Amino acid sequence: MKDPYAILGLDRESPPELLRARYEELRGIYSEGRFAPGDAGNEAARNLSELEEAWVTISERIAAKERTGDGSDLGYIDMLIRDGRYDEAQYKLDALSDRSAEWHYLQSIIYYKREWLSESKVQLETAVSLDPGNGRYRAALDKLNLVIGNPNTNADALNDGIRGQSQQFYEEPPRQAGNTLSNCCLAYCLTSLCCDCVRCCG
Amino acid sequence: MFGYIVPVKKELLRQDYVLYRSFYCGICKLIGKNYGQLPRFTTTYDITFLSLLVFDQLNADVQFAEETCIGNPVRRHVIVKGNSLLDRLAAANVILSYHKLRDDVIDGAGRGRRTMLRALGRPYRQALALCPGIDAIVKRGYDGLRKLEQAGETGIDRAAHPFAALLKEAALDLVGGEADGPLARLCYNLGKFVYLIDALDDIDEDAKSGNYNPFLKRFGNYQNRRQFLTDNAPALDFILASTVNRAIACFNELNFTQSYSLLKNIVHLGLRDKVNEVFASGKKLDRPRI
Repeated sequence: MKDPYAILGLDRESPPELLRARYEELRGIYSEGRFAPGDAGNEAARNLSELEEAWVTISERIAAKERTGDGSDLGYIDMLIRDGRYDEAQYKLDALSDRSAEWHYLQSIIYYKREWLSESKVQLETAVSLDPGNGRYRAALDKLNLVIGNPNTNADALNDGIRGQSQQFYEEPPRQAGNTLSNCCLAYCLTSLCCDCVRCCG
Repeated sequence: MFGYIVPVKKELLRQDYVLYRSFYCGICKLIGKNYGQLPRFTTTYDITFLSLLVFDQLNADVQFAEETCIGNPVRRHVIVKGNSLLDRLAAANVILSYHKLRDDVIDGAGRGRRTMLRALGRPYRQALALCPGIDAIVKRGYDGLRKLEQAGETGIDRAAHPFAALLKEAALDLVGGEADGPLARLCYNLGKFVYLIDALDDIDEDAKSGNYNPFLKRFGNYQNRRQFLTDNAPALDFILASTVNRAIACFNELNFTQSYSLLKNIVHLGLRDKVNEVFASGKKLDRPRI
């Protein structure tokens, strides 16, 4: 996969406002370009779906950063985990002496990614006991107990959830792929509706 | 430690049963041809599964033949013909068996296994020459296990890690692919499963002999097998179910070319079936017969 920041023509150090502005600007350009005839239209449609995918990743990172305090150690560790840099993330976690609920939550994710589910569960339980009101921790623990740790889970419904598409455990907004598709369908329906209206009126 | 990754026979389609037997017999015969008659006894169901998986993932050429067998000289069986890939898998089987026996002997196994280990010396050296990479992986795995055992590791995930990593690396060595991909993760969890289910099945033996067992270290208080399994049921359920479910989840991410329904029987049904069998049994399971 391409670097999502490069698709925006920016890098990971860019401020969130700039990233958002550039995303909206490009989305406007590509959305219009889609209707151009021939290859130009196809190219714009491809760019648009690439852009949407990149934006999912980037907006997740921005959200993670906001959640844990802008630029804090835990926010940075969260980003490392999302980038798949688990060793680095573990090293940074080990170095922190303040072990908050979020610390245990992040540790549980690293264990999960390493397929150490019993250890992951212990960390999640600690996170929930330190911050019982947090819905993310509880939802993750419930999934671990009720789905992944359940001997009767429907085997056909289980999916990897480690690298993208369909996360089972790691809290994440729904992936854009479906949304892009439904956006396209919606656009098509609206266009076709307009055409029909024009025909009727004419 | 072997014989836990097996299909559920009553759910097996006829053609899948024939395919399974043909791989099992093919490997056994090939071991006989490459290493002599004695090491044929080391052929395991687990290596049969691994072979099916490796052949499937590589979409490797499979050729069948009909041959008779020492065990049944009258009837002709369909077997998979040897080729260079099956040679490597047969070597992996010999290497795994050798290191397993060596580990048992270091743990103080009796004269039978010591004799067997000596007899496997020559086949092992031949297999080592063919697959030095796999030998290094297996050796590293068993060395890792020994270190954790000596340190009295109490974490189940940590205790199982060396064996899990062993199977993962062996699969990567045979098939290639991403170290973080679904095949690698499937094999990691299968390795973990084999280690854990074997440890749980051996619990009575280990409690009596005082050998290291991760479950005894973790939960303590062992009176007998049934009491131990009942007292710690929720925790044990989670440990095994999560390992099996992760294996199934990774399996579901793979694309298959040859033996999907057979492999699915083993991973979706076989693993859970084995867990139930171990939980329901008051003693160590007998060797399975497929």
